[in-house]
Amino acid sequence: MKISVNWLNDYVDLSGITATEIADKLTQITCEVEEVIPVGRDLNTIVVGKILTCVNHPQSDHLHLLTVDIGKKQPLNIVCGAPNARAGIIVAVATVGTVMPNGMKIEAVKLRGCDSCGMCCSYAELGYKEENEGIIELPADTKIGTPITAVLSGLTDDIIDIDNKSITNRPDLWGHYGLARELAVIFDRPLKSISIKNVSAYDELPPLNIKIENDHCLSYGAIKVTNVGDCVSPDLIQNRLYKLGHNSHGLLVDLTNYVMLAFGNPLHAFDASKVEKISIGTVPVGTKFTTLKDNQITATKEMLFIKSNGKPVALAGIMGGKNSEITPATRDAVFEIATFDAANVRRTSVAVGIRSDASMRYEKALDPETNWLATAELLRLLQQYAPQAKVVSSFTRVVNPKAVRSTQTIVVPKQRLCSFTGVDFTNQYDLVKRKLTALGFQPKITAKDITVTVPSWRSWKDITTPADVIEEIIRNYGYQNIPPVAPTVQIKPLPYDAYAAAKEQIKDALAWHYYFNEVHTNIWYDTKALKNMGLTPPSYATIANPFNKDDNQIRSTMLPSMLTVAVNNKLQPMVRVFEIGRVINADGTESEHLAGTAVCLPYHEVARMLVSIFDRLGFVLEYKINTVDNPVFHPTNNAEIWCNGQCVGKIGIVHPRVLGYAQAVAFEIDLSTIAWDSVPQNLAPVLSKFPKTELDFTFVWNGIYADLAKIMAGFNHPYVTGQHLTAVYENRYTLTFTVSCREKTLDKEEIKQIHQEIVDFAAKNSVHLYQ
Amino acid sequence: MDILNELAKIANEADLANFHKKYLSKTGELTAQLQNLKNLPADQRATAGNRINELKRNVEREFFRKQAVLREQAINDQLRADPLIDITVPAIKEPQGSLHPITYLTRRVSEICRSMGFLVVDGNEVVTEFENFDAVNIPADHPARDMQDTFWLTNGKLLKTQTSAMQNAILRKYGPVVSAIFPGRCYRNEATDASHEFAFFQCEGMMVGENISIANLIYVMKTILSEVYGKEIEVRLRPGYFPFVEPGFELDASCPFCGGKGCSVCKHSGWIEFCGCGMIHQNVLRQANVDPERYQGFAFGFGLTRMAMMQYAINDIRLLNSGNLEFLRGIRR
Repeated sequence: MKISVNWLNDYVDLSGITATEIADKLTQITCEVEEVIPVGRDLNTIVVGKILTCVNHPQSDHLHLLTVDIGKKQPLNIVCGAPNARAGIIVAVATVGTVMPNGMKIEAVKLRGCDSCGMCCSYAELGYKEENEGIIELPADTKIGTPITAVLSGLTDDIIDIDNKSITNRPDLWGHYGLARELAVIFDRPLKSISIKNVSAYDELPPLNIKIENDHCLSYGAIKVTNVGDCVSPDLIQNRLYKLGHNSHGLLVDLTNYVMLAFGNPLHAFDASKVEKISIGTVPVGTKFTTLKDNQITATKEMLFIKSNGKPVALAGIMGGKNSEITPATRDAVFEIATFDAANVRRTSVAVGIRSDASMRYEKALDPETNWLATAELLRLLQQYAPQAKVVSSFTRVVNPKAVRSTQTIVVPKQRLCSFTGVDFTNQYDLVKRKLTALGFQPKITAKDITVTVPSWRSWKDITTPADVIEEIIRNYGYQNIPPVAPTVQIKPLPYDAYAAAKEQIKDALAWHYYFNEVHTNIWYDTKALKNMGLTPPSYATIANPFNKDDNQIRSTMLPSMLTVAVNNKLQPMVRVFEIGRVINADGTESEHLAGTAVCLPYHEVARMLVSIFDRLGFVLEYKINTVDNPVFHPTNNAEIWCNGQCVGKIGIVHPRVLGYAQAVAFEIDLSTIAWDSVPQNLAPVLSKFPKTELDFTFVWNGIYADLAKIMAGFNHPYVTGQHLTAVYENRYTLTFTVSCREKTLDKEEIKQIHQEIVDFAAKNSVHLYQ
Repeated sequence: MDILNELAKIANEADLANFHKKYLSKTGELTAQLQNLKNLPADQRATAGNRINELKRNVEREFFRKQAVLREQAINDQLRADPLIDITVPAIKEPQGSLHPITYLTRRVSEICRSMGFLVVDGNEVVTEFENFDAVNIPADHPARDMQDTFWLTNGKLLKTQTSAMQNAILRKYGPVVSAIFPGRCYRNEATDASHEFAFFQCEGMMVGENISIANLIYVMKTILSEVYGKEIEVRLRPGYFPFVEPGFELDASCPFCGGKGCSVCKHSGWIEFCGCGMIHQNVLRQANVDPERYQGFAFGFGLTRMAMMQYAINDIRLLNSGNLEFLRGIRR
């Protein structure tokens, strides 16, 4: 929201304070200022001049050759294209060297062969108000040679742009007056009192017919004025509106905007001939309505309308209707000053896609009391700028009982203030009292408590608790004056989180030991990628409003995510990726999975990698033949991963249809199913005093390893303490047998004999040594 | 003296070994002569013994001298024969693994906070409407609940839009006196570009007790940031509005990258808008069965993703979730 510093000065004297200081203080104490925009600077070379002569340019059908007196010895030659250029008028002349607000530099040039040493300016070129026909014409008695800045008040200004988000909780700051109140408190300057015209002066006039039919209307006031046809706004109003981004639409509409920018209360002007019996409520669903900006709206049962004889004439709190807008033909007007339920205005605004100045304010929950101030100011301005206008009705105001508030008082114990802020306020209560008073809180400070009365303009959703009052105190005390203080808390050990620690160890092992890259992927399936891979994995949760309409399935497996990453990186030299991420299960619960894929890595290496990583964490992983078909994997070359007697995941060669470019292995483990806290105690190995011997046998075996292992497990010998697989190559399996005795060192002959027994046992079971 | 002459002529280690075997080993000639002494007549033994022992000592002394010389020679020959290693050939890096940038930063922040007594808590990505909104004082008619920036599920749950969604559960489980941080992935349904992405990481923190104050908040934030960046960081509070805190603040940190002098990261202001924070709203405490008359505390939430973008000078947020290995491999700590 843009704010004019000139305008603020109407309500608080800010002389001697720069716009930057104002912006800095607002940012520190009240709301975020995005930018300070100086307006009308460096325009001292634009001066008042008088056109002495005006003839047509010989080479042009629309340019004029002017001589202009600017109070120097020689008049200036200026080529000018304005239709209203003529001898005798008083104009604003930008002399050579002037840089115009739009950045254009005025130079001495030849235009179609004629000298031009300056420019006669229009209002828009000065950034003063909207373009109307041609160049500025000043009153005849304006002194020639005067800098234009001294003639057009308001030309020089500073515009402060406030971040709207930072005042969502402050409906009172959506106009100049509210911000002036803040600045009065900040700079300890008095807020000027406004001469309010007493609206009750019209009480004797006949009331308008107004009826509130719906609770979403909190208050509705209106007043009828006649004889206000086709009035033009004075420069002051046009200028102020223009600088803040509003064009002029004639006095009636301009005044509604002006009062809104002054006090934050949106107003609307109807053509009085188009509205009669006013009611505020809903209209039949499906009713068509056209706004004054030509938005086509179809009514829903939620939408609140202003109706005339039951027909909609305005979308409440958002925008007026085409059918009742002010036009050049308008003679009489009805002004609306109302408040509506904030949430309803916001919902409708979102539904119809219109965010107007009015809806932006109403959705912050405006104080119905602002109606009075807004009405009074409107009538004052109307009387000043359209003295012929005649008020013909009372200010008729209907208030919904919901909008009637009893005065709120809030008690803040001093002890609470100090403990909450960490600041000792002893000896500071004068400051507290002064600031709260200036903010309108009427504080009463006793030995123990601060009691405040919440002003109406802060009472709607804004100030409701002691914490809110503490904020008022502490922000005006100054956040920069709060010292950093270390909290005093009882020390206690943090519980050990075995799962969290395990996850970090898994990540480290994969990245630093096995060259995997950790990736992040979305929790939903990438439908296009699935289609390319020919996969239709299950999904047990659906996004109602996905960004891309097809990407609405929440994943139950992370394998497609990993494979998509592998596909996208097929030009990379080595692709090994993993993620620890989230999935939604068939029962609706959420699990954390570890998933990964490695391109060009053999199955057994990946299997061994996972076993090694989990071994270090204290868990034994096993692989079991998988009988359930999983389209991600090769039909036979895949397995279940088991841990502590339950299946925790899957691993396998990726199906060539899924990842066309290379062989890859993928795996996925449900980390949520593992009992991370139940790691068995790690006992030190008991070492034998006597040496142990390892005997390697390479057997030829054409079945599956599990069968070989089962056979060889049948070999028993008191000195054989273990056997394990150490290598596999094609159909050759190298088994290592550990031979040791706790009583003595075995001699060569004894070991040779054991060796022979193993070979014989194998042969008896049709397992033969590789020759 | 013949023996010494023979020794003098030896020029390589193999001949020397043979020489040792011939004369000095257990079966060598000099050893044999010494053993033969016992066969001599008693009156000759002493003289012969002295002569042979002296000879043996002389031979041994020369032998060891020769051995050292030949060893040195052999090593030098070996060095001359060794192929030249071209150390100008660059050492090619091993294939590289990497962790996600968010992991590095989460670890850093978690470690610092744990060292100050904060629990580090993980949470779900799919949460209830209550957890994400009602529990943190965002009532039904609040703009934040609008359809457009929340991913709603058809079952009424949603993808959490803010780590604040975990406040309620943590207060209930560990509270009322609790210090915790909870990093997590959040989702917003908005058009993506170089600075917007559906999924991003936040880190929320809170501290609740009987006397936890704004002054404590300033201290904790200043300390965490100074530790994260390894240098003294200044913080300042400005008013800010967030429904779950009252009062709410925007916290600015002095720019860690230029020390406050002004750089492209801080847009030449010397300050970085670091996070939103504030004193936990009494409604949030009440929703978690914590008595706001007795307990109070602060909460803060900052963007880990944004922190990563500043830390690693990442100019497009979408790279973080792209799975682009060339990008990810380049960030290693």
